[in-house]
Amino acid sequence: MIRERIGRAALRAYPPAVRQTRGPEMLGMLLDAGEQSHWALVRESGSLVLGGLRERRALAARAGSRRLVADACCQAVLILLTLWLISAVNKQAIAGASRQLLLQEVVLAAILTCALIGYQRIAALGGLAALIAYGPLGPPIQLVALARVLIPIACLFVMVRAPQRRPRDLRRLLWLLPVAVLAAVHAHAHISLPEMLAVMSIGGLLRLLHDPRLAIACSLVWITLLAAYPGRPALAGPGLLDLAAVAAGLMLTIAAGQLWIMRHRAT
Amino acid sequence: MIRSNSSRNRRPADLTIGWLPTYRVGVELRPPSYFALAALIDGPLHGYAIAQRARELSGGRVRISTGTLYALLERALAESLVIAGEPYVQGGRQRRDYTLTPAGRVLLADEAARLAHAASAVSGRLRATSEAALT
Repeated sequence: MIRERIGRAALRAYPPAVRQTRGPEMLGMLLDAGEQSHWALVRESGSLVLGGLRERRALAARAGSRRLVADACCQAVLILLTLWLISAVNKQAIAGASRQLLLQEVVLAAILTCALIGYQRIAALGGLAALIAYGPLGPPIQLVALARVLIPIACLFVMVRAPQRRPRDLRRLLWLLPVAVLAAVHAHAHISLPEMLAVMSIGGLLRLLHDPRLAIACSLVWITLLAAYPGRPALAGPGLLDLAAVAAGLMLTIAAGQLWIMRHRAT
Repeated sequence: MIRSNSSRNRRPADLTIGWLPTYRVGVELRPPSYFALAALIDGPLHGYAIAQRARELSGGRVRISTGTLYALLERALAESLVIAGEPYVQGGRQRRDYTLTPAGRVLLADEAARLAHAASAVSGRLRATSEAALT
């Protein structure tokens, strides 16, 4: 039973489509091969994990580098909207409930919901409208403020032009669950956006093994945050932004390198 | 898994990382692919049986792990070198038999001939130089 659990866990490395078609027979072979010894089971499980990562990497590479960059921009929009929503919740917790903030939260939550389910064009247009209504694009327009949100604007335009190609799925709304939990738990405490983004970036770094998209998205969001807070904000602890800058640069470099390799090998 | 002799002649649409559909004439099969396909010469086998047979055929030199075997089987299926049968349950485990296609046999025959030619060419030269050295 434990062997089967180990095998099933190793199989999770494969994309769902492969798991569905070949998963049971792969598991059967792993259990056959793993009967010889514990070491054989470990070796075979490791081989499955590596095979799964290779498969996922191939899947990402087949999408093409343009698609990968577009997907990364869309993911960056999702992260930015999430952080913006958390920031609005934060603001309300600190400043107290206000009708305007509540409306902003509802609008942002609605846009994020649309984007998560799969209506990304509508969400992107909503995001641009929200930037005008609540963000630095609102009147009076300041060039410096505009420059600071150039990346989000660019990402929103990419989302309008090339939204992620994935079936509509209500299960993605689970992404909102941590936001709701944080809002409930930290009702009167401050949530640090860089720390939140750092947690997401760890996921991006782990995924760099087979897919550069989340890493690029996190890097774009880091750059946006750094541009938004050019000084030493109270939001971040001492040295945290320096670390963030290095991490963002490193992640972007690795992801760009990976994209280049994918493109180079594909031509 | 499969190494192409000329990277310049690759068709861009065919190639992606970890997914090289290059089971074509003029390319060499790497040992795991060669012995996995060779394992199917005598008839259809399921995954674990293919790995065991490949190990036997290679004299224990080639060990094909589960991840490697299914990656190369996927490619062979995409290239119509093998066909997959219907899944069935044996000993409480799901299995599926794979059968070598005529195209797979042709590729294997080509590869075997290429290896035999390479081996005979080198052996011939070694023999010739050994005899010359002895005399």
